[in-house]
Amino acid sequence: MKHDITIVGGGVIGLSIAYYLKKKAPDLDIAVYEAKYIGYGASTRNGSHIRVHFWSEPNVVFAIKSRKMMLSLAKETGWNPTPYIGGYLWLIYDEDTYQAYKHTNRDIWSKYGVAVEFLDPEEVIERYPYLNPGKLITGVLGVQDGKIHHDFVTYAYAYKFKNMGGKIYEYTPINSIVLEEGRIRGVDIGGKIIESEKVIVAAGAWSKSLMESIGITLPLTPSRKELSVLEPVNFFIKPLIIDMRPSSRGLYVCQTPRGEVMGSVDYPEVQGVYEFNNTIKYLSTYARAVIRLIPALKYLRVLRIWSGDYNVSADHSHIMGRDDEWPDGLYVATGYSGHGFMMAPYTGLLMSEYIIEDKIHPDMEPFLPTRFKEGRLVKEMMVIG
Amino acid sequence: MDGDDPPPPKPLSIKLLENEVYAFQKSLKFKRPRGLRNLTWWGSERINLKTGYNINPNIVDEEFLDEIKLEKIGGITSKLVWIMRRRLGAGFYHNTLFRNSLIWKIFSSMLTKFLPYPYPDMSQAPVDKYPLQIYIDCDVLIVGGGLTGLTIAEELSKYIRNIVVLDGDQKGFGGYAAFLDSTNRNLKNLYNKLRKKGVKIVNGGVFQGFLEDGYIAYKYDTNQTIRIDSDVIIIATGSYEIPPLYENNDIPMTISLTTLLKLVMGYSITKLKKGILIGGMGDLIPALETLKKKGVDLFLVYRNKIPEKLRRFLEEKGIQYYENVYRISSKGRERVEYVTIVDEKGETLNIEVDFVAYSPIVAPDKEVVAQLGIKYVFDTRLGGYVPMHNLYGEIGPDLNFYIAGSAGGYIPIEYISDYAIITARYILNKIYGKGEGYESSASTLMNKIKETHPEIYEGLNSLDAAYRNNRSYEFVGWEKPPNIFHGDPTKIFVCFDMDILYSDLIHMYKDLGIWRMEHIKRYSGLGTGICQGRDCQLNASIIINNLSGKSFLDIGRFRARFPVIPQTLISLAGVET
Repeated sequence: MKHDITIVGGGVIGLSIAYYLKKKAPDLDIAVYEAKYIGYGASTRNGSHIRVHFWSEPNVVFAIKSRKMMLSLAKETGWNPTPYIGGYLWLIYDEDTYQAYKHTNRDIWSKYGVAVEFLDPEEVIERYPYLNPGKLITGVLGVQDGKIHHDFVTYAYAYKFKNMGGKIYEYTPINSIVLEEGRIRGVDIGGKIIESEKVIVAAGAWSKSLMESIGITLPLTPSRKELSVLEPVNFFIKPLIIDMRPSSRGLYVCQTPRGEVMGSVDYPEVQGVYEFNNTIKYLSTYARAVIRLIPALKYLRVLRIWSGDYNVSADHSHIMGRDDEWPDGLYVATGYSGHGFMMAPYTGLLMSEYIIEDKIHPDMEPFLPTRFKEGRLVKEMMVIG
Repeated sequence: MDGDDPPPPKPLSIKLLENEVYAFQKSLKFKRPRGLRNLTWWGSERINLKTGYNINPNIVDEEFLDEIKLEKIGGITSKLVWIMRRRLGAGFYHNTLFRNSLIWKIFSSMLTKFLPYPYPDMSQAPVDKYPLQIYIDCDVLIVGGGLTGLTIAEELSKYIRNIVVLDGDQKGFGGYAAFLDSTNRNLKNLYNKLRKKGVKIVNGGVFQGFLEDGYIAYKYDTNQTIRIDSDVIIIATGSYEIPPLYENNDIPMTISLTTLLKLVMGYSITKLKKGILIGGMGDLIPALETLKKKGVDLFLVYRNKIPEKLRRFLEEKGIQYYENVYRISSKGRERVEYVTIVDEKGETLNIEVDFVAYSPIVAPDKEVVAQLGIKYVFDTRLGGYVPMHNLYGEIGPDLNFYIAGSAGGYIPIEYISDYAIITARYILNKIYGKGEGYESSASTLMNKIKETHPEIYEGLNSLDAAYRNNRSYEFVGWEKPPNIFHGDPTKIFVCFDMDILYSDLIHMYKDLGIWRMEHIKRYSGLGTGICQGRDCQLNASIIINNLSGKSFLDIGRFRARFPVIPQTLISLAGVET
């Protein structure tokens, strides 16, 4: 067996790249290898939100384009990913953070039409009467942000890709990437070498160890995040709410349009790739924080809990493209630091341009893997949860 | 059972049944009327009468008892959405109609405004005190106070002092065996004996699962979390019946055989006079005997040919039966009123009934052990998906968790006690180096099972071999799956919480190529409701297996998650870390 392009990882990033590659070059033999099932990992285990409010310019630009593509995904793929634009609401409790938001708004957001409303505490309570915000300084509402069903985005790409003749192999883990004379020869699957011109590593939290096996170190730290879902109640929490009190430990809470209240805290901090387990520490910390913020939730019941991961890079921004010092034919798209789902559509488009036409789009340039050795970090500070 | 204490208060669901209110719950997604089904812990569930959906004890107001009517369950919007959804399929919002972003916007805002759920009580004040947690610190924790759990407790108590039995039901209940004439007295004696001996029996507590930093149970009657510190945990959660698939199988008063026994024997509900029992796998004879004594008139309905032993019993007792049934269809609104049965020759029969009971497949209740991520086998002789363990209940050589009784695969009722004793002796021997040998009694028991139930003997042996080789296997012995009947697939419910129909699975497989259980769950929402896949997962995989011929092990099960039953946030907030 031989492929033109092999994609390692059947998550939303890998499938988006696969879809756009196949669209651009229908004659190429493109295969996606997934160790478990499609979407296993962070693609099926995330908060399923999109936003354009980042603190660094490259991410803002990237996210705006990605959001636009996400919202027109129904036209593109024929799958409606059920978007609901309810906004993000940051509850801010200290002056420094407030000033930081003001500055970002003045310097970056206003430049790109990223809308933001600064609400005083009375206004927050008036608009969101269910909140018990405490000694709030201000509420920052990002109105263009919202939620989209993550599974349908993954399935849309997978389904379209397959229909165009692409190959997806589930439960087919890659043992290693095989090199020959300084270039990619293929991948090793079950001891057999499948030859391939190009290999794209989009394996989420497993990318780091896979790249290390061929001697390439990426500054990535997978970090586990736990989430829980409460029984459905009528839709009342429109935005995704982020409580920025240190004692809330990075609490965020949102509600899916079908009524389930979902949320997380950034505790306990667990680094490394783990099977998706949970802890009592998380459960009780989350319960206390969320009941403090929204007392109406106190008697709602937890239906299930799970955990996913943020594949955090050194500057909290994704790594896409390649380094010329790497073996020829090797590419990565990883390290999305919790933003993989929302960045997936634009990643797919740009990566396909890069791979087929060897064209580096200016929006992609800041995210090249070479930035770490050249000292051009993106420095994204806004990571939620 | 415990003579000294007053009997426990009746659950609200029982009061409603006594008042002839049967449709007192709603499905999670489309607000379809629902009644009792087969969850083992329903007996203590409280129902939110304002909304019709069982929600939590703190919102319930019993004064609403008179107000509940079927008209309130439903509502025009949800009816419209339901009609649309039945025509367009479970993923109907991906339909061409909704790809237009404007139409989707209008539709989604309509959905979010008219969701069939209640709002939470917005007037709740901030909390400064959380419910206290309970600690259980013991040598051995036995999860499940049925015949298996109590027998093991008795055997262990000969050598070990600090034993706790945790039972999810009200005091004095237990599993299937508690309601059978043949075993009920046994169980009562055992219960009293253990209490005298100092074994602690905690009722109303459900073991929720294994978390990385500890194990938690939930006492739902007092809304408290139980932290468990135990050297050994024995899972004896028993089994439950899988709902059969036929037209309108969602009408209230379609109940499992265990539920029927519990209503008739446990709560002395007298209004259940006549009904059909869809049987197949389990040991029906003791249940039929018990119900007959109570004057319940049963018609036995069988998908396949009735086994000879059962047929002889039925004829001797004059119980009517129908075998090789091709199609069933039930009718009614607030409850099942009559049932139409068509056999394979096309003969049709209408029966007026008070209820439809079912016991076509008896599946092990494996939700707790499944959280440990252990391998499983698929064996129809043992009830479908079975967690891998050896003959004595060991699930891993380094784990101090054991699985006992029918939680580890179907065991005929007459062997439950003997089987439990063997597991207990094995644990005593292995961990404490005490007690009598287990091997000779095990081989005696296995020989007995071989004589009376050769199929189950084979199943248990294959399971044991699979455990030793650490390799899953699949055994499908159905001529026709005993719980699947023909009928209009848009009227057959697979998931009763998220309203997933047989036709949705056909659509998913045939049109979209979705067939793995993990994908089915994510595409349609199957198994994301209150039951978390207990009722629907096996049925969905049987359907996919029938449609595609793919193996059950490939179709797979989705990952079991904490908690086993929904637990309030506030009860978790008080857990110290």
